[in-house]
Amino acid sequence: MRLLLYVELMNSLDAVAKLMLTVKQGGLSLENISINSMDGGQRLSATLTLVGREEKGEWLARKLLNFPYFHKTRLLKLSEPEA
Amino acid sequence: MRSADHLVKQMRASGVEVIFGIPGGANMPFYDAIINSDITSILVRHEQEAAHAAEGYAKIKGRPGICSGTSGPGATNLITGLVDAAMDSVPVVAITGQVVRAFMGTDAFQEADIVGMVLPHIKYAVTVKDSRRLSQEFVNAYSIAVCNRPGPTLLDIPRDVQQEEVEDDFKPLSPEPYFYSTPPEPPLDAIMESVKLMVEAEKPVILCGGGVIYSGASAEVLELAEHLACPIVTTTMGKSSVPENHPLVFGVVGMHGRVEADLAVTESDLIICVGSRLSDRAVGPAKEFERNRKIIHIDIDPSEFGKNAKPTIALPGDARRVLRELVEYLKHVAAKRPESPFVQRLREIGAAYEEYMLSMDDGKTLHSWKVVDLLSRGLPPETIVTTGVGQHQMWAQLFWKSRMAGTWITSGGLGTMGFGLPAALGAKAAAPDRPVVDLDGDGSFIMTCQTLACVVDYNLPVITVIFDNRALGMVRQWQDMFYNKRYKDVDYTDRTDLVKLSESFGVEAIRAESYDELLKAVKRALRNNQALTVDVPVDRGELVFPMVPPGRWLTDVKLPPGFEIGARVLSMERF
Ligand SMILES: Cc1cc2nc3c(=O)[nH]c(=O)nc-3n(C[C@H](O)[C@H](O)[C@H](O)COP(=O)(O)OP(=O)(O)OC[C@H]3O[C@@H](n4cnc5c(N)ncnc54)[C@H](O)[C@@H]3O)c2cc1C
Ligand SMILES: Cc1ncc(C[n+]2csc(CCOP(=O)(O)OP(=O)(O)O)c2C)c(N)n1
Repeated sequence: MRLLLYVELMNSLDAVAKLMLTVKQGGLSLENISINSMDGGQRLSATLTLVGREEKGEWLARKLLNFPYFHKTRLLKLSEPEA
Repeated sequence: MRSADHLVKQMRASGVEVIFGIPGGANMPFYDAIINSDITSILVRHEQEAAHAAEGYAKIKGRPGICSGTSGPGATNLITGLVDAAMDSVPVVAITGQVVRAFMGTDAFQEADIVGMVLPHIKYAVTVKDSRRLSQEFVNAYSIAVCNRPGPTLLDIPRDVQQEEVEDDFKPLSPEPYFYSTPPEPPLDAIMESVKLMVEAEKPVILCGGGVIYSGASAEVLELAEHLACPIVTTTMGKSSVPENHPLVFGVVGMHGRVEADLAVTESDLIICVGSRLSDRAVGPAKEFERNRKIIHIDIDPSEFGKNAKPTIALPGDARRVLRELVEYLKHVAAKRPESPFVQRLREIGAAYEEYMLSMDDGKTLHSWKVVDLLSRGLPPETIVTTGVGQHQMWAQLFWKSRMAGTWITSGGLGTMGFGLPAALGAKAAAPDRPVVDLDGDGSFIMTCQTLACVVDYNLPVITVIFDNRALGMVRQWQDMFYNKRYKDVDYTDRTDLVKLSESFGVEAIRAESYDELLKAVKRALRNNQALTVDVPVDRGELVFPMVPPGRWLTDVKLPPGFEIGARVLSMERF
């Protein structure tokens, strides 16, 4: 399934690295990522298109909020699982 | 004022009393600042010990343990302990030195990207490049380590940052937003739905994990169980969350669970999982666990719901708070249940297993499980037990009866050999008036045995009981059972004398020849508040049973040869 994950995070490379490492832990693959600064450079927003199991996407969106690097996550399902 | 002094002042204000670590070039200003404070620093002999000691300390105190190392090898030596803390949700703050800012990224002497290395396994790690932010970053790291689901954090501080002058305007700081948050709360309808499942269930069972200990929810678990008259089982990390001499408590479940505990799970039609991440070692294959039973899952970390097993109802929140609500509502809608034949039967099976195991005696060798049982009966309830990793750990989980909350400290998730002794040191530093006993394997002990030097140096008398089978017993057991007894690199052929080794550190040691001698020596050491190492020769052929082969469901358990519960289990089908 394709999933869209929106994340607001601290403006730090460690936060970006932690984001990618957590995607990896979830066993999801990355189709696309775009990262922009927001709040005058105080924070970043990241939009990721991911491919993998829906539960893993849900896990990722929740797991990230355990870490203070991440302030907000939203997950959208883009397509239904293939038959 | 140097920023290192500001930091140490802030640490003290946050409640830090003890630091475990080793100084080196890059954390010297930090160590220099400690001299001016009343924080005790314990000089360990290897940084891995510092991290495990911080874990032991944190487990007893319920607040973060602190460890420190210099840049490069000092920092990398901490990693095993930090990953261990992440796996077992232990709050630890590591403070590492880093090369000066101008040298970062130049492969400078002892430069290592410790933040990059720990990132996959840490709640928060940061290299602090602005000295004015140092104390604030500490407060953030200290707070988030223990907030909601606990875990390790790391502050990496370049030496010049530690030395820089900052304003002398000290006032205790509070964590910044995102470094503190209140636990989630379950929706009311989920509470009501859960209680409905409890009322409808014929064989409800409560499974307590490590979260019950963090939450301090023992009383609430017991209240719920007593109202439902249902069995309580625990995971390895949940051991000691409830007193194991309580008539409804049936011990640890899982791969090496108590026979009656595994049976409680397989027979259940509802399982109330409290503060557990439902690991494969605890509940076996998720598909089997989910089959034929409803699952209520309470956890402070909502990412645990469905990660391993899919719950019927998920209740996010602090275990104690959620259980309070459940108990209150349950008492309104249902009367207390009478004791069930199911519970009585489990008790009989447990007693039969224990009787069978404890009656074994060849008159020659000491048996590991009997040693654990002897100590469990002979030592006071406030005794804190730590373990290494291996067969001895499993014997301890099967036969040690924890009676007070939080008295069992082990490495569950990472399974780190060498954990036991430094964790015991940390626990003793946190509770100097309580007995602390490390039940260790010879392989595990030898990995961090130099901790004994600190036991002597800081007068933190722990008792180390080594189950000395001259082998890597647990791996040997797997080679025995799953590799056709093709033993490879599991037997020690050296002649290392563990008694002399211990004595060389200044810790009295004996080799136990009998159960009686062993218990007497341990009791004497406790009376005299002295450290002691007991080398207990045990047979390298011992196999720990029950054992559920990896990947199999709990009903596929292998029992000790000669112990039959077939007839007993069949008769359970009546209930
Ligand atoms: C040789 C060996 C054999 C093993 N055999 C077994 C075995 O037979 N049985 C077994 O169970 N394990 C066994 N283990 C341990 C196993 O690997 C796991 O570590 C263990 O099962 C995890 O238990 P847990 O889920 O309770 O604990 P933890 O890993 O401690 O998880 C705690 C959970 O509680 C939650 N939590 C934390 N605080 C709160 C709070 N305040 N309120 C609510 N929730 C909270 C956390 O989010 C987390 O999900 C073995 C380990 C080794 C090394
Ligand atoms: C650091 C580390 N290395 C290797 C292992 C793999 N391992 C698991 S149990 C075990 C044997 C442990 O031996 P010992 O401490 O003597 O305990 P025993 O099983 O003999 O009781 C090994 C090597 C591990 N868990 N940790």
